[in-house]
Amino acid sequence: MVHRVGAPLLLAAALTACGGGGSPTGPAPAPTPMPTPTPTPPTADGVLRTGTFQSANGYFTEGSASIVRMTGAHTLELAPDFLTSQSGALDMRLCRTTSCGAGDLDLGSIRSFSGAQTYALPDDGSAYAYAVVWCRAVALPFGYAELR
Amino acid sequence: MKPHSAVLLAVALGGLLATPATAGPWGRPRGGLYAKTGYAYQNAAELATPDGTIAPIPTFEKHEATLYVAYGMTDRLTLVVDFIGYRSSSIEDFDSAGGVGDLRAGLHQRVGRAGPWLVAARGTVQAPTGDATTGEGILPTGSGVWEGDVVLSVGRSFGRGRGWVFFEAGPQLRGGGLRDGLVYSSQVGWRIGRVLLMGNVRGVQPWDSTPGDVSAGSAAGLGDGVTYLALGPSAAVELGRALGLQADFDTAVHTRNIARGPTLRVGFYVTR
Repeated sequence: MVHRVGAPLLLAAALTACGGGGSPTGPAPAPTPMPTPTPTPPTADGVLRTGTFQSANGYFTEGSASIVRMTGAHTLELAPDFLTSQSGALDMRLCRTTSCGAGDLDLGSIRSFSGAQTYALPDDGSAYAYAVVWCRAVALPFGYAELR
Repeated sequence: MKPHSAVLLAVALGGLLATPATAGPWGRPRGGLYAKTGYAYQNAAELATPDGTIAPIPTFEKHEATLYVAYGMTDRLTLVVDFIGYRSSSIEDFDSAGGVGDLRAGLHQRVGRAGPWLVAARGTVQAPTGDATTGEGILPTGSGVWEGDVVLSVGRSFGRGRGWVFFEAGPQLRGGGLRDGLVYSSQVGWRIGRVLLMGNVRGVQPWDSTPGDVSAGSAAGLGDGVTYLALGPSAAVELGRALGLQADFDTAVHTRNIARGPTLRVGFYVTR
């Protein structure tokens, strides 16, 4: 089972469908599962891990994501340069590989197709290697960022 | 068969030979009516993404109940209405949604003749009577935008009226920021007694096929940049002077932004 965190918020833009949008700059290669990193759990506040999104499966995703610790709470923060294809049924997830599955962390529906946004995490997310923009309808990633 | 009779046969068959929304250059005579109710079913386990990548997906199914009517307003002008009365679709382990689909209406004008070839033009407008937001926008019943196309159609009979062929092509215009393109179709057919056998080609090719950042209803084939080339056979059998049953099967190649899987259609038609 995929763990779900937080209540989904209204999408900032009109819903469209998974599978429609894509990169105006050309497609990225299909995602390849990567080994899970082994981060060192820090105790101080600040950015724990960060990564840059890559497009996947002909869809478009760019920008950066970071896991941040602040006063003991952890969040996944997408930077103001975040942008992804417009779609319905689009989630933000933390996953062990670029293809999400059972045991990965569902952070809820994506809150906006562009711009800065924050998702609360139950822990430091060290079990997951990727932040993934995931279409739950067709079970495909639109993009992913390896968090290092 | 005399050439004149061959033409009449082709005119009479024009509607029933058609796969949905395509009829060749043969309109209806004044007061002539052709009506067909149909059912279409698609099952797909693959999605063609916006860049043409073929990705496996949970099973996608689509059902459509359609009504196609062609009525001869004059001997040269035919009114055509094509309506998806109900469209439902589902993705395994996700959701299902259904409702009224989009309504298409157009005029088919016989332009003239070039040797054995009959030439016609057809303009069609599609109203967004469907809902583009059902199933979280993944399983829409319509595109949500006004659309239209204008096609030039040429066709002829051969084999003493037992065979026919037509070609159609023209620009497709889409609202809401969805990209315009080319629509095309072709059919070749042959009559054997009361049975009509046909081979069909139809497709849509956007002028610009690079993946865009607008998305709508991809699996249902209603989104931006939808591309396909569908190939398949049809067969119709005449059940009486004015009644018939038709079945079509097609599968698509050269696909983008659409579920990829075979489609089966059956229809019952009446003609007057």
